[in-house]
Amino acid sequence: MQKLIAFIVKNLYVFIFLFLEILSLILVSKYNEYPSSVMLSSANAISGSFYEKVSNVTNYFGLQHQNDLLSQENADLRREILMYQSLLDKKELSVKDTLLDSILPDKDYTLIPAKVIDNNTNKLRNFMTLNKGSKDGIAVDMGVLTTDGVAGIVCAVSDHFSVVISLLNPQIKVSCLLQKSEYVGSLVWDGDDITTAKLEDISAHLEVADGDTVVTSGFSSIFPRNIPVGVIEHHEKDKTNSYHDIDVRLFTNFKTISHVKVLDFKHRDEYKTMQDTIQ
Amino acid sequence: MQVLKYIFSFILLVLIQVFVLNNIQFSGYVNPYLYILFIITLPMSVKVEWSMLLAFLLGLSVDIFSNTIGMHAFACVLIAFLRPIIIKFFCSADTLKNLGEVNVRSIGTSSFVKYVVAMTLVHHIALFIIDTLSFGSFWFLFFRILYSSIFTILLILGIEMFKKSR
Repeated sequence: MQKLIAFIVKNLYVFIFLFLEILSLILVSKYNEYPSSVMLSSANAISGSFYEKVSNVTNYFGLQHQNDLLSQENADLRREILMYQSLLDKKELSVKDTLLDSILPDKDYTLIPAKVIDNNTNKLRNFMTLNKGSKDGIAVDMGVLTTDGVAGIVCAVSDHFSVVISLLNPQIKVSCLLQKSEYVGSLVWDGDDITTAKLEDISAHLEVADGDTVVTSGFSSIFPRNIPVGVIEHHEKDKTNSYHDIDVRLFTNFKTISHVKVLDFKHRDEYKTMQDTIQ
Repeated sequence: MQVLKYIFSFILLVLIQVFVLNNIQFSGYVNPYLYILFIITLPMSVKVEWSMLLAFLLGLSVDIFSNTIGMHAFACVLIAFLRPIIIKFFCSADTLKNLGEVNVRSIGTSSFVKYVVAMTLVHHIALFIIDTLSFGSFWFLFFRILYSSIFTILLILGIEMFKKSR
């Protein structure tokens, strides 16, 4: 017994080493698949408020660019209003269209504006931190948009902050379709170039052309249909010859991202309970 | 007084790592990890048990800010554990006796450069293997380790040379 204790004391540092390394690996396997723990992610109160302070300062450097973007968006919206106004004036809204609109769930989304207070693009698994949390109505699994297109999906929320899995993260796949032909595939980032992602699961016999627009499919409660994602930049048959290997140029510029909108689907809970009952 | 200095450099290195270096994009996935300078320069008189605990705290602090819980902690504890073994390769027994803070002055330029290169490579290899575990080819991993190591080593040596010349 005495020898055993002496042995342990003599080699204490080896035991501490093994203990710390095993602890680290447990943490890695537990939290890195899907960082839902708010306590240990950048949504926690300490690092969250740190990031907010820093981004308050760095935001000033991007103000000019933000102004340009906002005024551009204003102009687009005004143009849209004018278009609808003229449509109304001509009373061209047919009965069929309004019926379709009321059936599609797209009208049941509200947008929560938020500021990106931390964002990375230089890793394999990229995340963003937002300055809004559950108190502002944000919940896990909500879609996140920029004015250009899809940006990511919320994966963790605290009271005042939330963490978003960026589209630049191979952990998420977004169901997408080609606007012209309506072929459905899933979009996933391959960890290489931050301006392009891969569109998978499009069979090789389907016709695909460079320049086709890729939009969300609306086959989940996360994104409604027809949110722009990117355009096909390059395509070729993959190694097995049964699928297309498609590169999609993303509309969202992840390097300059600073303001986003979070999609709140009105009947999300109801939709989820429905889905759960059939499983 | 010494302790205060180390607490200050611990906090400063974490802040620089998280708010400056993690946001700089040299090219795609290249990211230098300067914060390991804390473990590298820690005096050899600090017992390895304590340096491993400090390394664990240091790694975990960086992890919490970059959503990589456990990865940096693992790599940091590893280099803290291997530090007494690595430094023996490059320094004579005479130098190692009563060695305080490890820097250019205390162990000499050529020993220090070799020591920094070895520590950085061990850290980066461990870190990137864990990070890349589930996907990516061998070459993808290889170039991530190579490029990031080069930047880290240059930063550390630059800072240490500057400190020496003052």
